[in-house]
Amino acid sequence: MKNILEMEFLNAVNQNIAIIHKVCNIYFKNPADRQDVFQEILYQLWKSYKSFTGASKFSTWMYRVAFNTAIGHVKSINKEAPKEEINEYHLQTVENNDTQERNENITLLYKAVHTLSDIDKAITLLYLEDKSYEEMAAITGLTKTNISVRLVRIRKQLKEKMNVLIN
Amino acid sequence: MKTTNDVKQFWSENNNVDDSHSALSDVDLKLIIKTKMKKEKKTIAEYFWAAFTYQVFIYSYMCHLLIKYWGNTEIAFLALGLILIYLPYTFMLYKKIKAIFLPATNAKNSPIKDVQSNINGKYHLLFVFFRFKKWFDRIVNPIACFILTAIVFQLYVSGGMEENIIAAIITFLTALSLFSIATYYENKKRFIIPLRHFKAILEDIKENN
Repeated sequence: MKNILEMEFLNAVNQNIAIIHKVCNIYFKNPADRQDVFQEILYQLWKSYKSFTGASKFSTWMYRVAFNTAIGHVKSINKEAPKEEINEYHLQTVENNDTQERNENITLLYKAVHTLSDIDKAITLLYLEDKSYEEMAAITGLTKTNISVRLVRIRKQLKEKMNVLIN
Repeated sequence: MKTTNDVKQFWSENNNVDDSHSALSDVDLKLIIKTKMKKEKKTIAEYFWAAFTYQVFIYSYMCHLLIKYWGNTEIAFLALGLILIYLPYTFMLYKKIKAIFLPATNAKNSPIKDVQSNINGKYHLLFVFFRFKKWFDRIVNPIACFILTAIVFQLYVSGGMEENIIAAIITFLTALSLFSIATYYENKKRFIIPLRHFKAILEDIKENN
């Protein structure tokens, strides 16, 4: 029985594993922190898997667990671990798109996102992942109006930061 | 990258983590769960068992003194006093630690909250316990230090506190300083930093609402 549950969980997680990587990349600069939180998110997902009733999409539920875990970890880890620049770890995700310009741009994008607040980071990731306002609201607990207002500000901030970093 | 649409397009084109490279196996999952379970137990043990062991030591030592010096009303009064002031803390510690640490462990039975509700819940739990702990530290630490000093002088120093008032004051102040330093660092690590973090997020939500 446990094995069936494990296999079911593993399949569902593997289909959406990019969510955990992206959340870790958005919140943590240090590779060791990312690895630690990646494992912590998986552990929390496993522990709460039985509570997943299918009322929401699996990815929505996974985003909630991932954001809750990552945001809960931020301060303690930032306090203990030295911050590192975004480098090869982020670039692994684009190893097949091998132009230097693309690598530089994705690095700059992460640098710009890292300057946002924790909630704004979550909204940014959901926006970049093309999630609907309903889904964003279900994950973050904010209202759709609030998300829309925040997104206007975030988009402006990101654009400005990216342009400053590029120049 | 001139517009935000460029950013979004750039993201979707370039940030697709290759799932086939990072897919988890059954063995990976079991290893991660085992490692994290160990870590979780260690985290709980670090705080709970350290505090609990200290209290068990206090209770056993005071009971030992009560039995050994049966009939000595001064020792009985001091030992019983210390036991009585620690009892509510032991009860609250057990109750609150259960609430702080067990939601994660028992998450199977409760639905996952959205980010805002989760932060709110965590902040409230920590805040309530810290408020009680601060009150307890301010009142009980000096009393506990005084009782421990009185017991030490009564039992092991000839003339007791009355004839060694300066030494007793120095011992009391030293014990109180050590308690205060330990409490300060413990509170900073376990409560002040996490509370500040959660509060900043909640204020960010409130300000932009």
